[in-house]
Amino acid sequence: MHKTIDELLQTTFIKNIGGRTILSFSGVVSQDSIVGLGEALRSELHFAHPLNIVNKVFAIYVEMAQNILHYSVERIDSNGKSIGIGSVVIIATESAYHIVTINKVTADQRIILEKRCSTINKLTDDELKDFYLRKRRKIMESESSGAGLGLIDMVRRAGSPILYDFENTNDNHSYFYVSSKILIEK
Amino acid sequence: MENLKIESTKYTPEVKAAAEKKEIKFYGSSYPENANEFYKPIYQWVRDYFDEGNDDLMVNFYIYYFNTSTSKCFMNLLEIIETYAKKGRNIKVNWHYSEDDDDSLDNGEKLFMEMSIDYELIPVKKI
Repeated sequence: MHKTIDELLQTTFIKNIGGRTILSFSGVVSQDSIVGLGEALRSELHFAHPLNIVNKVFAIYVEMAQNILHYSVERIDSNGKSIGIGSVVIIATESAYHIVTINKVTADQRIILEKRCSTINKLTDDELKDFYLRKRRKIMESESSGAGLGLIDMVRRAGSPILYDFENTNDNHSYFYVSSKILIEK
Repeated sequence: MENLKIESTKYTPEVKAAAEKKEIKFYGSSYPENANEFYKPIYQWVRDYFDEGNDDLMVNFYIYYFNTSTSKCFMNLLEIIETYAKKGRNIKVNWHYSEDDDDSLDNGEKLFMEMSIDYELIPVKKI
């Protein structure tokens, strides 16, 4: 079973971020729920921030939520579509927004993600741009769906490294926790 | 040559392709769960348009947000355009971005980075 919001808010990963939770969702991350939550998020941000901040937070949120939709190992089938299950938690602190997603991944996915996250976090802005372009060229040649670009794009847009962690589950999978921090210039 | 008109949704742009105006226009945001499915008919329209002997095309993007899988589709579309431009077709691409949003300019710029296409990045007040 996926984690409930109550359980998630008690995890060290989320507690360490601090701040106040402004939006949380745990369940089937369908395109419809991504759009609905996204509208609530945009509306909330609009009251306090200029459009560029609203757009930045929204863009990172969509990328992360769609990662759950496409790649979570916990899934349901609905009307011939396969939809990922997981959680999204959005936290506001004094100086930043944190978008946190949690979903189950396989042991193989975990190895790839660990490598990818640690690589991306070490890159400077320029290296990140190069890496993005190289990866994109590869994806264009391979006809793949674009997996892998999302994480780079998140870090590039947010301008901060991602926080991530894994938690073993008893079915040989892991929970993948990932958080993107978007600083607000005051 | 049939015109193509796709109404916008919350997560897909309005698309208007009109042969008599020699123009294809995208307006809105783009983050569908399956971007390929959405953009396939558009690739086809562009190919058909040139294959039927048309020479000039203006491509206008007014997209304030697109996800990474859409960026792959835009690149596909620009590659198709590049192919026809190399064959001598006269194609101009205008990418409109919000002047208050650096990301919106940056994302547009990146699309054209490795393309040889006649393009312009045009600031607008608000998309």
